[in-house]
Amino acid sequence: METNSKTDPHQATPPAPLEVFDQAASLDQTGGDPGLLNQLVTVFLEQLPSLLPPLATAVQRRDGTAVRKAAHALASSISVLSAPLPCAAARRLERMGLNSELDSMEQAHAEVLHHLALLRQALAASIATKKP
Amino acid sequence: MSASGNAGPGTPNSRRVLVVDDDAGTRLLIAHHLKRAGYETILATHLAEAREVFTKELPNGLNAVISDYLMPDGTGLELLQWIKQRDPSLATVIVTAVGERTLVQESLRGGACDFLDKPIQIPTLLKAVETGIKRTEVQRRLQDAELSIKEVGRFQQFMLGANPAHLPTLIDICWHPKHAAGGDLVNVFQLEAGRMLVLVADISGHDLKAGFISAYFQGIVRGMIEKKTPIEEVFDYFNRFLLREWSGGNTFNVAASVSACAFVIDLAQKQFALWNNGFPIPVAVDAQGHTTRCGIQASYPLGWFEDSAPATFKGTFESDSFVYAWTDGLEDLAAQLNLTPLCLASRLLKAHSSGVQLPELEGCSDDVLAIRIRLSVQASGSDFQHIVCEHYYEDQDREIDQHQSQWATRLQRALPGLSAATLHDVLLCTREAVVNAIRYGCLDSGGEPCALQVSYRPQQSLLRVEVNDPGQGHDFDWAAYQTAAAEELLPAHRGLALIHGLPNATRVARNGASLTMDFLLQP
Repeated sequence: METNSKTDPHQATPPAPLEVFDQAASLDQTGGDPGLLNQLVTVFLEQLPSLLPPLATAVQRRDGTAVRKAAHALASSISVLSAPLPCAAARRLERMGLNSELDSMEQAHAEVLHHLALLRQALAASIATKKP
Repeated sequence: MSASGNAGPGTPNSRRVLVVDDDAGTRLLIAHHLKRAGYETILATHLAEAREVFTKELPNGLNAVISDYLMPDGTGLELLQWIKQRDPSLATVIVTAVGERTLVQESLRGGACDFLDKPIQIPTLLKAVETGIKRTEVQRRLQDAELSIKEVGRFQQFMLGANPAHLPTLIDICWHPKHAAGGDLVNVFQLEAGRMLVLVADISGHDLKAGFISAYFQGIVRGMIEKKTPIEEVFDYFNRFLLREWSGGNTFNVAASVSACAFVIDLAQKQFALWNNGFPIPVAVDAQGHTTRCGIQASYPLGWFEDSAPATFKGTFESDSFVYAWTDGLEDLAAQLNLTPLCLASRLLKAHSSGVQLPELEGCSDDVLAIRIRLSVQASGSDFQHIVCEHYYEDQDREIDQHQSQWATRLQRALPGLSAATLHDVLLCTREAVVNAIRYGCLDSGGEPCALQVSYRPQQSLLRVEVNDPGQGHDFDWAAYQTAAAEELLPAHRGLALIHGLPNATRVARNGASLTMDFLLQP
């Protein structure tokens, strides 16, 4: 499921929580191993700060090839978690880079950042609920 | 890079998977599930690291590779191609994002074993890895088998060329097995009183089984010859052996047959004899290039019938004589190429001695073996290239156009530089001579054919056409009538005018029953 790229993500209807992060599906993906899921979340949150600056720079420079590479790395990173909307947003940006759709990239980038912010919140909540 | 898993490196049952992905979460997820399924994983974060791991783990240290498609220093397809160049047996699974169908096609064409979509589904991952590992194992077993067969073939080549050191080098051999190994053989044994035995044989089939039977047969022949058993008794023994022990009512019916020909050569007495069981009839060639078939009697291969007496032939020879022999695989190829077997055999042997393999041999449907035995201790100065070697019978003049067309094809194939004008002259003269030989020389000859032989002598750039008929010839002084024939163009003399006028030299013998025409070609 993808949101309309012309819509301002901050004005849109808030996405359903499971579209941002489906914890049960993620746990299923790990074979029901909460410890592994915890590790995956930790790894994701640790590497996210290093994935975003190259993407922002590439969008700012309107460099399609660099956008494709940076968005691909981000999408791959998200794909280990069941996070349909953030993953789809990153994939859409990757395709835009591949097809050099330079005019739409800024909007799509904003959308990625919005979904990532929601994902971070969901993951933080997920980790918090697991703590004793 | 990092490694995980229960089985240690190099342990017999360890199944090691190289996981290449620049995303730490994906590596963690894949490694976790593979470890749980009993695999050992080695992790690499990019192509350069993957290449390093691969090189370190050679040979056979890895059982499968899972690689992401897009990575910072290249693509999974580049890695796949790099791996295939170094270990074609190692199965590689490529991971792509959903919808990248063109990448999937590209990967499969590049030799990928399978592909996975991201996000990776664990059951699909495990199935792909298991399939990949099995494929690697099968490929490695095939590679091992292929290497073993090649080793057998290499040994057979060695055996073919292994003359006993104390015997003069007498034999030129060209052997081209259909597969890496086969059942053709040539062996040389020293006999008493300076004689030697050359054994050439073709085992039915062209596979490892044929190779095994070939080795078995050679061992038996060697043992019996050393016990001074006459060769006909050796053949008889092996015939009974094939029929009774290997083909006779047992559960594993070998059903093999052996076409074999043994030459016993006495260089001092200038004599040779041969015993032939189902082998194509060899051809002797004298110093002038004249050919003689070594026997006409049909015989059967060993392993066919209880009574399988060999065809025999005895002959004398002068210096600079040869005997050519070849397997039926060569005869089939010659028919396919519209060449005579002798022509093809001499071409193959000449090319082989120059270290060249003729393109005609590629894709032939049987093992091809040609040998040439020099019936002289001294090195020969003669070097013939046989182009046409045919016999024609009494009623075959009606097919003269067809014969002429065959000669033309063979001449053009053997001598690609032959000019159209010379080819025309050669064909015209040959046609006249052969028609005369069939119509007059074969008449009342008791069914004996006339013989046509065309050969080329490269040292002299000489193309020689020889026609011999079995008749008495007739007393005709061409020189006396030459002028009249030319002036009056008597129909009966037109052919003679061509035969005497177009070649560089024409010689007749036996009142014209034997005719030789020489054409000097431009070098």
